[in-house]
Amino acid sequence: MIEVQFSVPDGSVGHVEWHVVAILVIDGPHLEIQGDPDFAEVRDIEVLDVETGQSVTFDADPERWARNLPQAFRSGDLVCEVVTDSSADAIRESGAIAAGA
Amino acid sequence: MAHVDRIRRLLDLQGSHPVERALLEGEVVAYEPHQTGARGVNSVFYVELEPDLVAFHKPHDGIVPRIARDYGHSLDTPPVCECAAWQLARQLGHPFDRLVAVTVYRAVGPPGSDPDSWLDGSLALKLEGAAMKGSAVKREVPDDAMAAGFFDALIGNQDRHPGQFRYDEPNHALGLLDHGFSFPVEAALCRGAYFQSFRRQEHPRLTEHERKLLRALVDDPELFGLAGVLEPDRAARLRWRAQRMLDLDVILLKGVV
Repeated sequence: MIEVQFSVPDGSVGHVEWHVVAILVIDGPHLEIQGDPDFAEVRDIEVLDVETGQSVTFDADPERWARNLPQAFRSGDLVCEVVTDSSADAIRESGAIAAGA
Repeated sequence: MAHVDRIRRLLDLQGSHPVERALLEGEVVAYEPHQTGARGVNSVFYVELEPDLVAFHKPHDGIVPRIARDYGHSLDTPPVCECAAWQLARQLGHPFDRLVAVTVYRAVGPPGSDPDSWLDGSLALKLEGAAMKGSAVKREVPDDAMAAGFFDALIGNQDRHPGQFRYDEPNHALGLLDHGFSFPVEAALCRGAYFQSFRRQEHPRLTEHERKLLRALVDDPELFGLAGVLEPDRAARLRWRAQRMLDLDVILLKGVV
């Protein structure tokens, strides 16, 4: 399961605060949108898999697509961030067990 | 011509527009990185300028080389291309100078720090409105969406997706942003062509106004000043795309760059 968060800056309070406008929860082939429902359009974005150099769509590989989604947002006024990645957490945990931690 | 000479030519083009001047001359009162620490994402800084402007700064140093290479760019080119897109929009006039975010090239850094330590990059005015409003844009301001399709085809925008524009619904105002990956070299990839595809579907033929603009561009040996700003192969492809659209009398397909 991967959770991707979108935030926008608000500088009207004397310093910059970031407000979450939408959260995507990707679990296998399922996509759930919390917040602004118009973020359903995000499914149409084709992203670069930075490791392989390939283009990835949601339909082709939802979780790989989600992990690479942040680099498709480069303007600064809408920040995309992977906040939960259960696969990465599981890999880290198994690595720690193998290392005898 | 070296990168530094192209920057000099870009600086010469800047300053005739009042918002450009405000971005160039405004005193920096806030300079903060965006909150994400995600690896593999180009760095962007939130900037506040006196008297009351918010903008976003993208320094050359913040570009991830792997991503730039994927689009056929180097660390030198995205900030320059971002500024070049605005300069082209300004010179094309209505409606393009209203649609595209005013963007200038300048050094910016934290207020109070030594300006000599500030980083060069593009500084784009914050646009009002929200992302992911493509359906509303196409429904409520279709003429602007179609003009955006023409503009993207001309600059060879490589990644116009639903997060790369803003729509201010109360004011029915579309705003185009993030043109760092544009003015591609021949055969470079195009990952998103949101408005170009819409335009091809709705009204692929050029309007008389668009033909007139393209003729003026191809007839100008300096390409409205961009010949000295863009790398030669990027400038040549800009001329090629303009001429190709004139020859075919249609908006180019996604990926024809």
